[in-house]
Amino acid sequence: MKNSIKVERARNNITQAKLAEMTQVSRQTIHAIESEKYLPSALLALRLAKIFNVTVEEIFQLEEGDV
Amino acid sequence: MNTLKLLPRWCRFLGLAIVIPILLMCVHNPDVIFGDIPFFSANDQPIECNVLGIFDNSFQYDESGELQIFSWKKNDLFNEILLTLMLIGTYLIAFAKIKSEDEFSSQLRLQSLTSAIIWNSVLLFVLNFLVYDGMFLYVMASQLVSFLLIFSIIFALKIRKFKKGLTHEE
Repeated sequence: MKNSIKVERARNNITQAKLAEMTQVSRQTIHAIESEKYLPSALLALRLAKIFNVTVEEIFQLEEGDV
Repeated sequence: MNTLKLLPRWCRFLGLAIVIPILLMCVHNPDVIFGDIPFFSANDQPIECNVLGIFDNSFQYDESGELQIFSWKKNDLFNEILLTLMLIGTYLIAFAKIKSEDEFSSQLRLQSLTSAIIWNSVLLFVLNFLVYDGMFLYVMASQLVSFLLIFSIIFALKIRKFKKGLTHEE
């Protein structure tokens, strides 16, 4: 599963540290999600979508082989 | 979201303060776990008292010739106390919160737990074919705490690896 958190962060001018603070997780969690080493929980995914004011599907997309 | 019930962060430091001196004593003299304390002479029994044992070195028979499984005996409790402290210490280290505890660290804990089971089994498998006779008792004794120690080391290394990767980002 790929995600566009880095793009959304750049678009909204939010640093990893700020996003971590807003979602109540650590910066290393945001880094792990961006580098696709960790799949967030549904709760965290919904929080991220709310912060960027987009839907969850716009941030997280299935890749070939995930279906 | 973090559903794991963990101990406060300071417990890790308390655990380390307990485990490190006992480990050093075990490295200095592995017989510590069987009651041979380095700073006491062989005849010293610092905490000798009557204890209830399920069975002794040999099963005891009472006057009627019946097998007596439960019996009172004199025993020095020093090594039992050391082992209890070691178990408590390793639990404190393994299950204390880290600075940034969240759902990602919970995932790392789970991965570390799985790795620890595998590595502990590999260690036991290898030592089973390398250590024989009475010396195998030391292997059995080390297994009491080795799993939690291996888990703590793997978890600390995983956290360190991710923290290291962070410095190049932002």
